[in-house]
Amino acid sequence: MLSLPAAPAAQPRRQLFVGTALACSAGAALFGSMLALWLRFRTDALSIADGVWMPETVKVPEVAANVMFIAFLPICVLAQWAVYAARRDDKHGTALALSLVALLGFAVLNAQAFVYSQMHVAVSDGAFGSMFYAVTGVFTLLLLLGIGFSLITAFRYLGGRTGDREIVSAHALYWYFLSVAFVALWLVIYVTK
Amino acid sequence: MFTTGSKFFLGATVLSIVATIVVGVTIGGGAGWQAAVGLATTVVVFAFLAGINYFVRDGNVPSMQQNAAAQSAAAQPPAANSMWPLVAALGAGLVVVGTVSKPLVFKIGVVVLLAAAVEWMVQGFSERASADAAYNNTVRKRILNPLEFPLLAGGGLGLIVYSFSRIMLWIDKSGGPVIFVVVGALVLVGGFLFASRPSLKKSLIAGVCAIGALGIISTGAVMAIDGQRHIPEYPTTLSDPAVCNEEGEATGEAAEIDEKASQSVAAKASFAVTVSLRDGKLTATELGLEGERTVVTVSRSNATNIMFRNFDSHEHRFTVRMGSFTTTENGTAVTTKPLVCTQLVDHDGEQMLTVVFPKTSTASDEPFIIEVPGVEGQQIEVVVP
Repeated sequence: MLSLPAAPAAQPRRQLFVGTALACSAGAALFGSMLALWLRFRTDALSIADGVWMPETVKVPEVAANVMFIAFLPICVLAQWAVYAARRDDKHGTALALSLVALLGFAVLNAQAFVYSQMHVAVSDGAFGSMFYAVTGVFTLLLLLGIGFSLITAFRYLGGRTGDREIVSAHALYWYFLSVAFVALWLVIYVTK
Repeated sequence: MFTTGSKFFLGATVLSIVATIVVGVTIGGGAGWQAAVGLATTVVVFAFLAGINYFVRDGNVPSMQQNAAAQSAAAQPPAANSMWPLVAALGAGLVVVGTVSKPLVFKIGVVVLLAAAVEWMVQGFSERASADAAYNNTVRKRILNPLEFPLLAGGGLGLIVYSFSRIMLWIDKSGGPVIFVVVGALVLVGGFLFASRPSLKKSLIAGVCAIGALGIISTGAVMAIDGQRHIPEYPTTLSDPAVCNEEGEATGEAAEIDEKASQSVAAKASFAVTVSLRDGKLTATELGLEGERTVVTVSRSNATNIMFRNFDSHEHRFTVRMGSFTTTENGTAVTTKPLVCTQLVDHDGEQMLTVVFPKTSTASDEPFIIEVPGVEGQQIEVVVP
């Protein structure tokens, strides 16, 4: 039987955490730029006489938008709970927290789909339509990535890599970023319209 | 207290705050909003990066850490070269191209992507098995070879078979058997030579086999691009309905229509109408109704099986004239008279015809008729309500 020395134990490099932070920075820059463009188009549209930005036929389903906003508060708490539980080797608590984050992520996704179905905005509705789908579409994509991140984190952690707590921290960081990004989106698109 | 990296980002944050205030105050309108919000975003991003740098202490190895030179992240051996990221990228590209081109490309992309994911994952796993790279490689082989070899062999064999089929479809019909015999004989002789000289190097045998396989694949590829030889379509009563008006055997290019025609119908066949020709008289019976009829009723837009039995001493075909319809195309009236028929039915033979009447009898300029070409004055009308 072969008797070889084991591979050297990997040092905590924080690569995933720093990589997630850089990805969040890039996402924040992208999101901020899109919101800046949104505000520019909106201001330009309203600065001319009888100018219209959001078509009068479009109604924002405020209940669904506010539910999405509120949902991010427990998401942040649950993501941090996962970090807290992982540090204490509480496998069940970590699994429950990660599962609930993913579940609430699906709920937000469902609410976004409801908003799409209720607003009846066409992409061809001028700058408003194209910018609306560009901003909310990018957010939906980031949301899907977040749900995937939660599932992968849960899979790795429940698969036995309970020592890999860095991914749980990176997961929490990503959901903090998503929460902040949605607050900005909610304020600009669903509140000030 | 603050690390070098975090100081840099803190400085950038302060500069961004100043720039945001200046721009926000001096520029108005839409451009002002865009610039101010854009710069505010840089404030957020730089502040965030400053915090991350502070939190991870710039990723530095503390000077007090023992064995830092051997155990720090920078001291770890780099990951081995791997082609699987490249293959995965190719698969992802194929998936994207396949979504806008052909489904086959998409499916190949998915297979390539999955294969690359499995190979990449196992390679990553095996590299952590031990400190010995050679042993790690045996671990990878032990896991993946039982999967790789059958798949590669199956794929390679399929490629050779497909290439050979392209060659056989390209060459002349009469030359095919000759080439088949020659290639088979070459394979047999080659196998005999290899078996009779066991001292031959494996590399030589593998080289000869590889050259042979490459020859077949390259020839097959060339012939596939050139296209297969013309294979004339076998004529049928559907492809040449004019034969339905003819009495006796079809002639000319349609002569093959009546060759080896089936003369019996399975007992389990289900048919709604039975038409018989006996002593020059055409009669019909309907399923569930008693007595012979000269008018039969069938449903519209449903497949209806009609059985034809020939008790006449001569062979006959059975024809259904499905009316006459006039339509206007580009201002010109166009009349179509669809008809279907069986092949020739011998004495005491029988055939079944499956007919679908898409329109009612009243929509047609002429009645729907069942008849036998060559038998005058014998017709059965078909009513489609």
